[in-house]
Amino acid sequence: MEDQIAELTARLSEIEASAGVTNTMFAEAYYYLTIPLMVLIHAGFLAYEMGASRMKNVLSSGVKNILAFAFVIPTFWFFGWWVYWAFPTGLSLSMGPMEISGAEYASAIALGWGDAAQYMGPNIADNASGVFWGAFALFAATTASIMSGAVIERIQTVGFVILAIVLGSFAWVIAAAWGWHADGWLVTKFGVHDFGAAGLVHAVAGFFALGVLINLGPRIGKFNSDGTANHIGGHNLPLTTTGLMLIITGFWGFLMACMILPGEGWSWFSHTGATIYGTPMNLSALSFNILMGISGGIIGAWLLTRDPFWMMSGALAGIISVASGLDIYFPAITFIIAFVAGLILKPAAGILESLGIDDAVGAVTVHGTIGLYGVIALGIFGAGYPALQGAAGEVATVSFLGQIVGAAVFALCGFIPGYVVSLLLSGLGMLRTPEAAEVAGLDPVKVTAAAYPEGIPASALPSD
Amino acid sequence: MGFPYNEASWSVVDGAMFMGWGGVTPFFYTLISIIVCIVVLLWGDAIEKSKYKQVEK
Repeated sequence: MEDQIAELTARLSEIEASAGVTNTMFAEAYYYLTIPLMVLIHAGFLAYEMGASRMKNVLSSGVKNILAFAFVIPTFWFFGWWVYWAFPTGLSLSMGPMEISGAEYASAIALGWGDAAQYMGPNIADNASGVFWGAFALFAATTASIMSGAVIERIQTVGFVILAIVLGSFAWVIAAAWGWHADGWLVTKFGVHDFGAAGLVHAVAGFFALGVLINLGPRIGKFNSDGTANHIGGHNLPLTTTGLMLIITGFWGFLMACMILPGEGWSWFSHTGATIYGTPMNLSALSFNILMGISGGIIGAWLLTRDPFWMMSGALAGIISVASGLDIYFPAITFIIAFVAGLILKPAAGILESLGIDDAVGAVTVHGTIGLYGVIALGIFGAGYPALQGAAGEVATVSFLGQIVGAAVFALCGFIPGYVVSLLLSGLGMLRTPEAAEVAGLDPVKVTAAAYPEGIPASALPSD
Repeated sequence: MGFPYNEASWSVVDGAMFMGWGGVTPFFYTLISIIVCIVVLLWGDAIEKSKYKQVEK
């Protein structure tokens, strides 16, 4: 009998160990696969802004976008990941109540030298750090890509890359540390909830772009002497529209990467998924709400514009407008919020243009304005939800005021560094291309390849 | 750099296994990587400026 019990106990241990390995490998693969999905976001932005460029600037826009990706990734490895773990409690860099933040903690897990380096490279005992870092690095690249489209056709390449590094490896990371971390002061003190990063990715990037656009100025020919605006059409609307669809596809990866899986040492729960704040959720919630958000945004934009560019922008705006509460919204509420986002999209872009801002692809509106709208909307519909594990009273709850504070902080996290750094670059002569280069086109001036060496001929007639 | 464990055998590997683990090599290569990024940006800016000067002539 005792032998049988011992045998069963040993067998049970084997099964538990096997299940543990399976869970670990699933978690690792889950986050790993979000990375190529999020690369689709970058591919989408690449197509989007190349299509929105005139033929003389197509490749220059592409080069700029590719370099943003290339420089944000290593700089996020150098210091961006450290910033995320060091800053949640604010500028004091002290450790928060969950004991997973502060300069000391960050220096122990997120630097490319010393003992911390064991978590920043191949480690057979660590299946999480690399895939988490990778997912965050792609969030970072996304922010730079959002800004990239707004400034096309007149920004210097290296100046842009510096701005991309500041945005992707610092500005949004500060916002994420404050509002997308269980020790973040916006969460613990104000109950800010921004599950899908409407504010801390989209609004930060959108307002960073606004700060840059103020110093960069409009493209030559965008505005008339009386202040009225001219439409500068891109050379390939189908490419732009397809790019938008790729971005939307990639956002499924972005949003699934926002969920913390169960059953691991770093998990919040053993039985269900969780938000980054440690509140329970699952992928079914995302499935309901992302699809309803896309649909609401498209319908709202179609109602007002009948324009495929704005319809696809409406899809993106639809997702962004509900991203903060994708984990808890009822799908019909999602649809309504996203529908309104689709409706206000083009008028909001028109207001920006009337102020003399030349946002070539509507990035400030789609990501900045709609991002803030999304954060604040959750304060109305989601008020009273505990922002962290525990009950209301023990932990902060979601509130309208809290979400407004969060929205304001996110906007400033983007706008201030965008404005200040672009002003410095302008002073150094590294921001705006010379007028002669802009008129001639940036491709013939500084790109060593031709986008369409044979032009874009009409299709040949079929043979008899 | 060599194998980062005392015994050069995979059977003893139970953690970090990248080249240079446990020494100053990671810092050294991280520093070089940072310098590469900075130098490339400076160089790229100089080339870009020369292209603009050409078109302004």
